[in-house]
Amino acid sequence: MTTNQTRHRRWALPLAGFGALVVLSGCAKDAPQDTWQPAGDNARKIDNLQQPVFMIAGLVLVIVAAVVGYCVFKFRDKGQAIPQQSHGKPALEIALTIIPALILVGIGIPTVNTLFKLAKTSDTQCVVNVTGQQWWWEYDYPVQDGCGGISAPIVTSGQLVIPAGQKVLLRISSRDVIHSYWIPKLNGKRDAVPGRVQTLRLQADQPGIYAGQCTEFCGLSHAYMRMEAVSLDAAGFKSWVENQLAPYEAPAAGSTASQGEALFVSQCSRCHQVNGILGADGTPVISRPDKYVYSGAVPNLTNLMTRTTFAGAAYDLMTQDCKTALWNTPSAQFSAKYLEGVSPECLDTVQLRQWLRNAPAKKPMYADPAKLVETGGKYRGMPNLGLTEDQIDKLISYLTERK
Amino acid sequence: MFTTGSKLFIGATTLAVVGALIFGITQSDSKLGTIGLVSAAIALVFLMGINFWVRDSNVSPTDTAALTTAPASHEAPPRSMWPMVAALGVALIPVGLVVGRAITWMAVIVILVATVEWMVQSWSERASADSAYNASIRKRIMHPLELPVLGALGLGLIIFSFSRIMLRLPAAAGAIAFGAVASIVLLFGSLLAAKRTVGRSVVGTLCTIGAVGIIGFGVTSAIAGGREIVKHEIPSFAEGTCGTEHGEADHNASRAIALKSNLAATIVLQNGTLHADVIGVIGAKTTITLGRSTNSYIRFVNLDDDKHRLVADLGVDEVNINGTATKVPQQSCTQAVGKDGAQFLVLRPTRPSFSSTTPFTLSVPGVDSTITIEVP
Amino acid sequence: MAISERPSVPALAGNGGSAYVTPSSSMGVFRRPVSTTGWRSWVFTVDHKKLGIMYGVVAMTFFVIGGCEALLIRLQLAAPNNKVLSAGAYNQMFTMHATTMVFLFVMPMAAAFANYLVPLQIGARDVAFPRLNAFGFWCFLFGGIFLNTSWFLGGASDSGWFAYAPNTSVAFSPSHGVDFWALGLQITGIASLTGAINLIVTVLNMRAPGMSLMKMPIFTWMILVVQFLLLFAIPVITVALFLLSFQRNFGAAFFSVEKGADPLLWQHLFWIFGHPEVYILVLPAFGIVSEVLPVFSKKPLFGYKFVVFSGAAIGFLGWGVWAHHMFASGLGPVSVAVFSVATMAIALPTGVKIVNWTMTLWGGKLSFTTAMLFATGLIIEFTIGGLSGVTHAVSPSDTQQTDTYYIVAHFHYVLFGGAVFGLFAGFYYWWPKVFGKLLNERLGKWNFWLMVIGMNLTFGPMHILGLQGQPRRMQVWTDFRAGEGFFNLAFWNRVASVGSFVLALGILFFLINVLYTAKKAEIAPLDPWDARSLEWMTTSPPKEHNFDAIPHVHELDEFFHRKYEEDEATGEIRQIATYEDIMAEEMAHADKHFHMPSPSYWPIILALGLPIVAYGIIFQRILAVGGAVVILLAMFGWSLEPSVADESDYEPPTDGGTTKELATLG
Repeated sequence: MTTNQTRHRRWALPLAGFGALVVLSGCAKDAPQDTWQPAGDNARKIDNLQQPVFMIAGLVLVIVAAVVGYCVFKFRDKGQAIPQQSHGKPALEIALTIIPALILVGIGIPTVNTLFKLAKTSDTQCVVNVTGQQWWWEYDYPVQDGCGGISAPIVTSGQLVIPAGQKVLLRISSRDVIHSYWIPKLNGKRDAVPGRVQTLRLQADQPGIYAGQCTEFCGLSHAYMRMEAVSLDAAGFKSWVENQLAPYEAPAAGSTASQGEALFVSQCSRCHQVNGILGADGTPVISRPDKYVYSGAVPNLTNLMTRTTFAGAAYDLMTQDCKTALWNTPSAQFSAKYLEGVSPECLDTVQLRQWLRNAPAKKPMYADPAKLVETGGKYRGMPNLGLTEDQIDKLISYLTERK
Repeated sequence: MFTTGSKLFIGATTLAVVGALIFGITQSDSKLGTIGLVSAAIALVFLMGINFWVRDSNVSPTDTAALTTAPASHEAPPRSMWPMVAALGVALIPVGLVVGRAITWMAVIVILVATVEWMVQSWSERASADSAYNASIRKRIMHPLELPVLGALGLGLIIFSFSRIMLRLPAAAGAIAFGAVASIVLLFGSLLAAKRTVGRSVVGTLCTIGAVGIIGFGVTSAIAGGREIVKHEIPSFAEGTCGTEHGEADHNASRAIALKSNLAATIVLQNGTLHADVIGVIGAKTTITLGRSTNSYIRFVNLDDDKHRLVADLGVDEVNINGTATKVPQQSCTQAVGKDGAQFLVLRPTRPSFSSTTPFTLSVPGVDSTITIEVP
Repeated sequence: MAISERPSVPALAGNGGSAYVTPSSSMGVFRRPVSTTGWRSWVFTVDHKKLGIMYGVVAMTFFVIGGCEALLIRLQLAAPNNKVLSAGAYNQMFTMHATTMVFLFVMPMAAAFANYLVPLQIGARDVAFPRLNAFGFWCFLFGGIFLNTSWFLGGASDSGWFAYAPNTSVAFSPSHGVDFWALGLQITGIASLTGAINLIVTVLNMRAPGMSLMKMPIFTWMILVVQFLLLFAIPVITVALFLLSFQRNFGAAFFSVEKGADPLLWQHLFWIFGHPEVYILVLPAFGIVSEVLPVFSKKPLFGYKFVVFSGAAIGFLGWGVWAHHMFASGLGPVSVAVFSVATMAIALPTGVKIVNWTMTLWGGKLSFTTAMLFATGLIIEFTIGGLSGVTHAVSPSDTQQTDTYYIVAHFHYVLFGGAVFGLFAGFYYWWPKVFGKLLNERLGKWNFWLMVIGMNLTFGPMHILGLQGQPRRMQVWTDFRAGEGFFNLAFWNRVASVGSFVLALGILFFLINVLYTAKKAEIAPLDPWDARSLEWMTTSPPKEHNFDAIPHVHELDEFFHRKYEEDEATGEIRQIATYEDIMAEEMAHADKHFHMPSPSYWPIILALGLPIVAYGIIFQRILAVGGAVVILLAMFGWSLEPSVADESDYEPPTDGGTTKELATLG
């Protein structure tokens, strides 16, 4: 192996890694969690800070590699005399310490500056409470004048819906272990720590949909704990809020959906809440997930079909074609398209049926009643309910109307 | 076959077993004594085993000469503190009987320790003809026991003294005092490190002064008793305790939380009205939204003159009491606090607010103003 | 038991010496171990060289195990929604991969080098506490085995090597894996702690005459810094693991949020240990490279004092940066700013090292043996890891990168490109010292190039994966979120998976090289590299007593200065003696008696008690009592056994030669 090859090999990959990243970062398309393509103010602040840092780091690497490469080429043993036994040049050492120190000061000042800008909470225009649990996120919108006015609390899951252009403040917490909330195109991540409420700013420039992923290891199904943030224009967000708070519409009597409703009350409503649903005795059905589930909460299904995911955003309610179409909708038309919800044509019944048939087979969860000794018999995740195909039909027909 | 040492332990074991039998039969209601004596028997069997295993270190059985040539057999025996310690133990027993049980126990321990040490010392003096070797053999057997016990006792004493002093001093002064002590230790340490010629006696004296000082202050503080510390206990509010008057709630603060935890809301009582501050939330000063099945920390600040408490009312819930579902009002409250006082309340609603016929509220008894709690 | 050995003083008047009976068996029941050959000579040895080799062999075994775990992880991630490993198995796999590599490979491999080389480099005959040294090794071995038995006893730990509370609570991790993990690390922690005390005492007290601290070889210096780091870091993790074990096994509530605990307590404790741990892993490799580069450049280390002090500076600053692992945890902007700046500051002493290595090459006479290739490779690969570290110090940028594959890339460049490359440089450089044979250079070149290519193929793409938003510790990734174009996750995941097998092939070449060398290679010359430090001034492998005569030291790089001299007029370096001359001269002054410590049963018996207690805590408490009895007995046995074995413990010399005198060391 010759030294020339040595040099090339050693330079090629770092250069590909750093140089090409900088040059080609514009080439990537449809990388939904790309950290270098900010779509909002906060992520852009980070990006503006990190780009020069990456440049400087790349430059330093090139210099070090060049000097080492030069040494390898120039000073290899060609029979020259044994060099002088010099023990170093303190002046050179000190100079080569001061230069990086200055560079670091140059990086440090904007770092601290950006850090405090990102921690600001006083200019918030809209607040959303975000609560993580194994293995999904709950979003609830407190009563406020922000977000264009919310008169009664809204609770949803699977997709965070925010008004575009507004400074949204997430108040993040957890019901069990530590999770981390991260929508890369909108901001860095913030851990959801049980017992604490931590804030994270989000602001999306345009209506659209942004992918994210739980980034603090949170147990068995960590990889399936995904999230999507949806930003809607002001009018779209207003109508989304109105729809979320609209009164419950019971299915037409005698329909399959109506049978599904009865089945839902008997099978699902111990844990899952549908706001406004009435039991056989005419009183509201109130779910008590705190009695059956270790974390104490499960997704509220009142408006299931207004969001396009289920099972902690691990699976889609939409078929792949409809989903791709939605994600690729230009921002001007996006709000209207999203507010259509999951139409019956777009509904991916395959995934939903598999889920209802045997949820733990679809997503790893602690839902085997025999193994719940340590949690006092409470589930961590949805158990297999043993539903028949007929029952699944009825439930799906009921759930399809929840929008 | 059996060596002298193992015979000693066989005897002691027998005594312990007999004692255990007698105690077990006569004092059938107290198992502790029997367990103790049986444990002692097991320990003694263990020691017997060791002795037997090492053949009493081969002293007497194979080396009869040692019996006659050992310094112990024709020289004055070396100094020993154990007769005096044993006597002290014996003297302490009557004192303990008069003053208290703790001293009696101490006396018993002192006597036991002195006996064991005495036995080992006198045994070691006959181990061989070489006094230095005899001393070293005593050390080798006893140091593995003595050093950990002495170390633990010494550390325990110092830790105890420290804790008593800390508990005696006011909370702020404790930090200052021990900051000062730490600085002095560091200073002396640095001086000693810099000046290596300092004699052992100087270092020893300084350490002794330090130890005596800490232990002395510790004992004094222990006698003087600790400062008053506010206790935080989980409340058990009976109905009607969250009223205007002084009651049970004022002695049992709600579950304490760390201030560092971010707050769900701050509720302020000002000029007879309540309003809520929530980080980031615009408007809605009379409504707060709390999550289900998660702890929400609420801070209550009283800016008015009278003493007031914050009461949370989360409707009525069915609770399983002795197997029957009973309807129990979900009410909790803070201590009453005066002007500029603050208190915490932890709420964990498990049902949505729309499940209740009456709204969930935060209120202050005697003040006509409420905050609505919404739970989605 | 050895209390029975008798002083051989003359009898008092009137009694003949014959009155004394020499005990036939000074142990009472057992004889003290005396074997110098066969398996007994290894199991009961207290010789730092034998222990060093055993550390190395066991660590290498765990390296292969950890490597296989890594390959399984990469297989699982080679395709979207892959099903090689279930979610549970995957979580166990990455937990054990990290735990094995950190605690059972890099740390003990550094201990192997330190054990073997530090006494040789400082001209000592053994470490200060030989039995403690043996005890440390057995704790490491039994701890490592204990940890890995969890695979067969209900599953390994599935909480990550960082084991964040409250995910480690029984409710969230019901298998015994976390218990095995916590107790296993406690046991290996004992090894690190005793090793640290031992080496600190050895280095500070047992250097050859004339070797002041600033004439000490740089590897020994870095090891000294590492031992101080261990001395202070291990107690922290010990406390944390005790809290965890009490939480899981005895109902304590240190991390139970519902009882008012703050789960960030664990993170602080873990990272106060965990960050110095990074330097514990990498500084020994820095030391090795700082030995290798000068030898193959025929120049002294450039700026020796700067390298020493930057190592010490890293040792100090390493304690003030732990929270940079927690920038997303919600510490608040003030704390984050402080730790952000502190983290940038630690880049400086690290940069000093890279500058000095490069300047050592500058103007040298470089010969690219495999050891030199690994050392040069380390400069580049570690620089990449160091620079990606600077991007994390920029805390807002870190909130985008933390817990993504970018971090995985970063620390693998630091730990593989830094620590492992350094260790491999050490293997090739010191192999002839330890085994008397040179590793094959041709196979070595294959080994090096496959490892360089493999590691860059494996970990290089992870920079891209991370910046494209792929989180760590994910059992599956999906096609939908992989994206398209040059940076799509699918392609780079596949590249990384292929790269991991290239890397494995490179390591396989090393193992082949070891076997080939053992079978085929000829005995190497005593000074094959024209080396500079004391360990080469004796036979290879060294005799049990290391040096026939303890050398007197006058210079840094003593050995080199005995061989070469600078012409004062011309400044030329010329050879004044060959290594044969120097060794012959040393032999002429050989000591007559060698004071060597005796083998002992007790270290291994004492260490054996620890996993018994640990199994007892997990499965059956009464077993723990049994283990405690073993420990107690062994402690007594150890205390009662003199470090100086009795003459009668040894078979009489058969050849009528001199008997051994024994050291008074503990």
